Amino acid sequence: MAAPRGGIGSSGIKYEAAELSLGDRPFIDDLRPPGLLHAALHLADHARADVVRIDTAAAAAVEGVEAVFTAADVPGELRVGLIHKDWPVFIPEGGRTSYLGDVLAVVVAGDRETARHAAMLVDVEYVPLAPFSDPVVAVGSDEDAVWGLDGNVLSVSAYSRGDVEAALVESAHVVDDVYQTQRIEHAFVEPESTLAVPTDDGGLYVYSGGQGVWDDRNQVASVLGLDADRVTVELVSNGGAFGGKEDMSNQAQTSLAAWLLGRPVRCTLSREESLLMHPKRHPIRMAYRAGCDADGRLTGLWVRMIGDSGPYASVGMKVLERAAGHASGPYVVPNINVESTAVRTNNPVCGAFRGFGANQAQFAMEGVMDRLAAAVGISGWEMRSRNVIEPGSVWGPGQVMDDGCLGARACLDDVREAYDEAVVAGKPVGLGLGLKNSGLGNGFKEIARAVVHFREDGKVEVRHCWTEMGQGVHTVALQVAVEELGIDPERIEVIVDTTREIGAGQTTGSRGTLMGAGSVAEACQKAVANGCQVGVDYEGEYRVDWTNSMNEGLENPVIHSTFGYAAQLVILDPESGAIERVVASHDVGRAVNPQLCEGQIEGSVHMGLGYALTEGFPADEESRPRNSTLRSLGILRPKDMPEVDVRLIESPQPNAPYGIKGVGEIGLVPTAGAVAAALHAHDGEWRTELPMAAPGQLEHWADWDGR
Amino acid sequence: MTTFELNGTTVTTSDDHPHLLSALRDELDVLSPKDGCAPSGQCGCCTILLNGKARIACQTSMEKAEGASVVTLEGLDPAERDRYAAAFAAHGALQCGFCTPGILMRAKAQIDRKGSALTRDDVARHLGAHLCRCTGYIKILDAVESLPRTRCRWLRPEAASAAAASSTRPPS
Repeated sequence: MAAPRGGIGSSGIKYEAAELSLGDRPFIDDLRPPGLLHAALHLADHARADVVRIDTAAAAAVEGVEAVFTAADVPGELRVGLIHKDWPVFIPEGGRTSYLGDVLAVVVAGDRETARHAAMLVDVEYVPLAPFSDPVVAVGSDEDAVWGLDGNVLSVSAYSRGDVEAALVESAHVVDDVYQTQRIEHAFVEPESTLAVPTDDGGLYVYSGGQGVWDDRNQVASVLGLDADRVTVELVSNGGAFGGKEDMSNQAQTSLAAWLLGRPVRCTLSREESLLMHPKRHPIRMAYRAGCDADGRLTGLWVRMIGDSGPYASVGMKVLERAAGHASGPYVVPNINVESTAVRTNNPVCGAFRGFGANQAQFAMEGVMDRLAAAVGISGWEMRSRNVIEPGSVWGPGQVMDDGCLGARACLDDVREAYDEAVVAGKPVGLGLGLKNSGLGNGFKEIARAVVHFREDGKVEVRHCWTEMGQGVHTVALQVAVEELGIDPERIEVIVDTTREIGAGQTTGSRGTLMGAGSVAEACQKAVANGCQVGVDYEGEYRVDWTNSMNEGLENPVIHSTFGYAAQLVILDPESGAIERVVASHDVGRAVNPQLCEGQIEGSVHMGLGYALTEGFPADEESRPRNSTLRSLGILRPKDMPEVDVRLIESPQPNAPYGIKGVGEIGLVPTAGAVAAALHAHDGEWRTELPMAAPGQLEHWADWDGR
Repeated sequence: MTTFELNGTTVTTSDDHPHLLSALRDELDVLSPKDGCAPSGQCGCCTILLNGKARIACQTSMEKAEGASVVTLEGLDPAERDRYAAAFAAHGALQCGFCTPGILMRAKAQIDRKGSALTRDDVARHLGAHLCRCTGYIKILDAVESLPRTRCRWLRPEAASAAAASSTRPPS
């Protein structure tokens, strides 16, 4: 049978590509329901201050203002959160602000300008307190940084195997360095926007760009004190997220206003508000001691990490857990001892961001590999080749790796020729090898569902549970349906809304393609087996409910079901030291759409080079971000983007649908390490801090070396 | 009131708007220019043509708009719209798509002015006015490079036919 046009493995056109290119596919801010009101938020003036009084009279008196709401108007739960319900949607009178993204009031008016102007007139009386801007200070303090939360340690993740101290004593070479990474802003181009519309049947219909619309629904309902079935959330594919749209931003405040007024209300954040409100990438300090034998084989690894998580949990404990799990990179280390602490401060909340802790840890681990290679007198490539995991290897927290990890070796081998050529040509070259889990793992039950539904009009609805944020998960769902049903792509409509109970939480952890493909494929297979009857919901699921937590005490836990792998080379111009070319070899298991897959990697490399060299989001001693504009973030301009040679490798994951592994995050995991190695090859200096070429973006913490 | 020509039609708007983008989106419901950072002008998502030149709408005052010709993606010839959209789609030059309309307008302005003299480096330099956080810009440059580079006739009538003749790159 001939492969259907646009099935698995074809570079089919991205779903809605033409409409998006022309600006015709509406984003939330483009939706114009009749009678629409506009909301604007009043954010905290101080990162940590007691709120004595909130006076809304002046704001309410502005002509055109319909209402001003505060915590006093919340009928349900004040706090939301993906893991801990610790994040207040408003700070009430008598409460205390804990960062500058806290909301004091929402102002609703007939137009946006009026709402924004009036929001500035909300008058809040504060008693300012000294904020905790340094996680090293916060972790050692008896005073609580955050209103209503006990202690400044959000979480500790730890594991150990063997006797590291004995191994290090017996090692031929030992390195001992402290690495520091910086806070990073997602800079998705579409600021957060929510539209909430009361329905005729006494419910609320919410348009959200969040990364998990069922979570949005449940949290909105809890704030309004409603049963979840009275709130429907529809995903409007958003203008970029990268993890920064997992937590609620303005969904609750917008929904509250619409609910109380009985009118459609939209709130779109300004860029300044967006920068203040949503969680960032964690800055992490990492103390690494590692040894190897005379041949360069790793003997032991001791790691301590402290991460600045900001005030509210978000998924910060999971980020530091992932950093701990990935501490050893894709290498075999017989003796290992890792401990990673997430600390509460009054700096911006840190949470999910593409890579989720793996980037930070592997910047340090790749630094270790290059330092040890130099001590042994072998190349960076050779050092990695001697230590890379293979099937049966015991990895990091104790997981026995399956055949999926053949991809690590495949990526390494794939870049060897280019690595050797650069060396021969006298070009400074750095190599990074990395891995990134797909899915949550760690004992979570992950069940993604999808529904395929043939309509009277000949269209086929493919309903899945993931957020389209540019990565192409709608296109993946479509291509899987085309593959399994053998129908034209034009017949398919991809829908994500909460009218079906198919939610699986956040679109996160590189799992959308893996789990989405699995669930859509099963739904299609059920449809085919039943003759594809019109009007029937065929439901499929993809289940990963067999991973283990690193805290279960198992000797060989299965922490993650799947990993993606990548080797990246950064090659410099020997004269100028500028980056000339990046080679990115990525094992994705199976590329559902090679062109979109390549796009994920190119975009990640751009983000990874910025991470390595110029990007940052530092906060000052008042916990106020020093950067308040897009330009100040240090994102690389197009003219500074080197040539990127993307090479897709398909080393299939056993038991995964079509062999898929996931590609969303891995693209910038090895990049910073590769840049650091290339710069070392150029000038002989070892780097330990990110970013490496923009001193103004660095973190400045008190001394801490993990001992 | 402010009067200008929008996509070939004379329109009159309130002059209370803080910038042209607000008049376009909030009063005229012209939605292809997106608002990523107004009024700071740093993302390029609201790029439009003002008297044939690419301009950031949130950095264009109502005074500057008065009497001007304003062109948005809505006002392009349907065949030209299709050509641009097809090139971006075929090259995978968009991911989330929020920055793409502004980049299309920038590309059009450059092609209209420079025709076949337009180089990939030129495009990269001018794209500095645009933030794309998804693509790393590579496929955007591929897409623009693939477009037929014909100077706009009404900009340089005498040069247009020569430019058209020397434009050799068909869409791939």
